[in-house]
Amino acid sequence: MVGDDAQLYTIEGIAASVLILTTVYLVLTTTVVFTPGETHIYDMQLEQLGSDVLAAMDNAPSWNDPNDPYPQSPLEAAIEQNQPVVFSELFLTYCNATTEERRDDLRFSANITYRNETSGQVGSKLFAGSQYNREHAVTVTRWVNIDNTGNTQPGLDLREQSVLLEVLLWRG
Amino acid sequence: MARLNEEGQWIILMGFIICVGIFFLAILLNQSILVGQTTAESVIEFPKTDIQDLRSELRMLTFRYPADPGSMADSIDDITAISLYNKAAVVRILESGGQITEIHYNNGVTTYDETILWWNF
Repeated sequence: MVGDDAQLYTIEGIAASVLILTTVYLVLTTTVVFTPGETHIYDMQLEQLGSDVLAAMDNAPSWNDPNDPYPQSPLEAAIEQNQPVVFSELFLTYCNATTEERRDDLRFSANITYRNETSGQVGSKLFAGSQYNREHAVTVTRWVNIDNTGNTQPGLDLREQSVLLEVLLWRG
Repeated sequence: MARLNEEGQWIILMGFIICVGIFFLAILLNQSILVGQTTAESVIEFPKTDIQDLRSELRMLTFRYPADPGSMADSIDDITAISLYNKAAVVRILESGGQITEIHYNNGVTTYDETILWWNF
C-alpha cells in the first residue's frame, strides 16, 4: 500500500515547480515575441520623423507679407538652385537632433521625380544623400512647388511646377 | 481487479488548474504579438502623410497662384501624373477659377474624397 502521508507537501512541490516553469516560459517568450512587432514600430517612428523634417524644411522660417503666406522655403530653394549639399546639411541637422548632446546617425538618399510637359514623360533623378547599401529603410515623400525664376535644377522644365521629393531614410 | 485509487485527487485537480492557466497565458502572449504587429502595419499602410502632404501642397497652390490658373493647372497635372507613376495612387483634383474645389485620392487601399469650401486645414 502506498503511503498517503504528506500529500500537501507534494502538492506544494508540484505547484512550485509549475510556477517556476511558467515563469521561465514567460521570460523566454517575451524576449522573442517583441522583436517582430518592434521593427514595425521603429519604421513607423522613422517615417513620421522623416515626413516631419521635410514638412519643417518646406516652410519658410519667417514671413511678413500678409498677402503672401507662402514665401520660398529652404527646401524649395535647395531644389530650385540645385544645392544638394545645403539640403543634406539641413536635413541631417533636423533628422539627427536628439535631446542629448550626442547626434543620431540617420542616413538618407533623396530622389526628385518630375514631369516633362512637352513629352508628358515622368522622370526621376538622384538629388542628394549617401549610397544605399541594403539597410532597412523607409520612404518619405514631399510635394515641392518650384518657381519658374531661377530654376537651375538640370532636367526640370523652366516653369512653375510641382515635383515630388522622395527620401529613403535609414539608421546608419 | 484492481481497486480504483482515490488518493491524491487534489494533486490532479491542481495539475489541471495550472494547465489551464498556462494555456490561457500562452494564448494571451500569442495574441499580443499579433496586436502589436497588425496595429503598426495598419498605421504604416494608411497613407496619412501622403494625404496631409497633398492637401498642404494644394492649399499652397491656391495661395500662390490665385490669378494664374495656367500654372495651377500645370501643377495639378504634375501631381496627378507623378502620383500615378511614383505612388500608384489615382489623384483627381477639380479646380475652377483659381480655387481648388474637390480632391479625390485612391491608392487601392484607402480612398479620400474632400470638397473644399474653405481652407481651414
